[in-house]
Amino acid sequence: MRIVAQLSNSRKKKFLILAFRFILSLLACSFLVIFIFTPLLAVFSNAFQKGVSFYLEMLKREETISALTLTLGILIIVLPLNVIFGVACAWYVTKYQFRGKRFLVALLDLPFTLSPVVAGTMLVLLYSVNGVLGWVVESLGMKIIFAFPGLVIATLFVTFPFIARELIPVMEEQGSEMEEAGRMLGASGRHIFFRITLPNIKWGLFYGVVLCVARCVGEFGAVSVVSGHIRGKTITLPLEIEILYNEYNLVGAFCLATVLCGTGLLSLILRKWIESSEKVSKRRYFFGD
Amino acid sequence: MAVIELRNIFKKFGDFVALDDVSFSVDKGELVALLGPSGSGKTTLLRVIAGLERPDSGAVFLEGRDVTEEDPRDRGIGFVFQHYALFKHMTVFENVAFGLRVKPRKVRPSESEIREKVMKLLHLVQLDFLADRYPSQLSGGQRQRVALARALAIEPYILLLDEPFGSLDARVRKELRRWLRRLHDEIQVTSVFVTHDQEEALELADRVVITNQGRVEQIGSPEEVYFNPATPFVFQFLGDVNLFHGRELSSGEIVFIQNETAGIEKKFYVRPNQVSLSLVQSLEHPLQCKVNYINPAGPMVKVEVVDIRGNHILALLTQDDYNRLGLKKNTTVYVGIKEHKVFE
Repeated sequence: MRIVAQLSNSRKKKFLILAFRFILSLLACSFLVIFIFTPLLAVFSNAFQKGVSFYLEMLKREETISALTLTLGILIIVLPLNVIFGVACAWYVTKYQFRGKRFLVALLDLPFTLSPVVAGTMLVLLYSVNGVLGWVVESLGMKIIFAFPGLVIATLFVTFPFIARELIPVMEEQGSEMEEAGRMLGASGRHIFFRITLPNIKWGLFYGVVLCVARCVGEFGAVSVVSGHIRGKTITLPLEIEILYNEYNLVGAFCLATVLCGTGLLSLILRKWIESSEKVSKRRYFFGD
Repeated sequence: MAVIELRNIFKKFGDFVALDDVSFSVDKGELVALLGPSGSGKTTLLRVIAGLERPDSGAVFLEGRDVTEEDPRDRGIGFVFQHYALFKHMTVFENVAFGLRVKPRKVRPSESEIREKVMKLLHLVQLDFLADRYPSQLSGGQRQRVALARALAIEPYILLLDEPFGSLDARVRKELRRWLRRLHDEIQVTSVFVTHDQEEALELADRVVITNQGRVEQIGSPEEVYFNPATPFVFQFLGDVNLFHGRELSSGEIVFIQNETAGIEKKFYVRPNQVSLSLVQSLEHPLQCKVNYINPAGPMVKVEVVDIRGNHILALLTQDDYNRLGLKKNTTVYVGIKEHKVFE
């Protein structure tokens, strides 16, 4: 009798495990559907609500073009700076030992942990005409806040950790033995960087760039504070979407939103592709002696 | 003239003293082993010669030239890293060719010369059939040989090897060891290698530098350091040791009796193969013991005996002696010492 009881007990256990699994996957799926798929679908379906011709017209509007050029202009300046900073920072943190290293790495996360609005406000407090460094800006005859330089600085602040954060674990894992081997073989610093270091971090770097681009294009909070919303001058793509939304041009807002969604989706696809190509390069066959 | 000369090298990492007043030199064409336990500073010493580590004080001379301040890339030294440090994104061919391709344009060989030279080196290390493979596709022993070929490509006048056989299994390690010795005899490049394996050092090297806690304990040929160890550390590091506490009487007699007070107390270092066993007590075999453990597998029979004070003594017997004595566990035997070493 005891054996039978045990059997039914183990069956009960199995059932509970299955039920638990089912509930978990249901939760995960419904979360995905409610919070991700539906909104994404809504963006695209709303964008084409008034037809393809309206959609194309929205994209061809003067304001859209100017917002798009501004966003791309910011990207063109911010991205190379971030690449240089990210690689230099990751190199310094991983190849050298120094005091305050942990502090520096923690500091790198500041833009992640700080609300972008705070970052924007901070820039205004620093560089506006009445700000702490306002006199410097003025004496240089420049305008930072409510102008293009402010947008660049705000975007830079928000996106600078992306590339360094991607590279640090990659470079940490590799150590510096390969670079030392290169040095012993007579390679100059330039040769070591371009022939040894860079080829080994290229996928990490590429992924960092993808993330950085997505964030650059989509940044709203910090940019919104420093922009001043001057139409045709300091309106980036996300800000243009906000304006259309506030003017009750919902369909128009969604039309532009598809562009941002597109960059986001593209970066996800690129990420998957990078991961799979990395796997291929790791999956090499082992030949014994 | 010495090809490598180190003068009074000191090196600290934080509070840890890695090298403490190290001086020695290596002659042309020699194969020298730096032997010591881990943490004894041997790898740091090798990196100081290479220039990858800068000494806190002291000087490094290569062929009579002071290179202490010189960049490693200008030293023309071949270095084989412990974990090979092969460029994993390059083929075997490109790994070996690297040192030639990064030469300044004026002295860089042409593409066909590079090709010829690399294939010659790969032939030398018997890996020419793997030229198009990537390092991850090779076995440990093959990677080791690629690393060696890559180091030799720049025609170094000094070759440094950090634990060259450290991460290989025992059989491959022995094979590669003999192969490296033959290769060294063939190309005659002044070489220094680091190892913690005393058997490897004694078998392979012309001279052995034994390091401990950042200091050089002894320098000499394998025979010298093995038969005439300068310090107790060297004696213990180069093989198994039995330590006898006894007293030497003014007559020159040695006694191991507990309550003896005459003479001077001394420690006697005895190798297991210098311990002899007998079934009868005599002047030559004074110490009564009991057999505790026997392992007859191998060329020599290992017998562990315990004396009345509970000290364990290891004896190595030839198979003949072992059969003649007919030892079993708990047999009473008498231990004698054929040869001993005393450090003042």
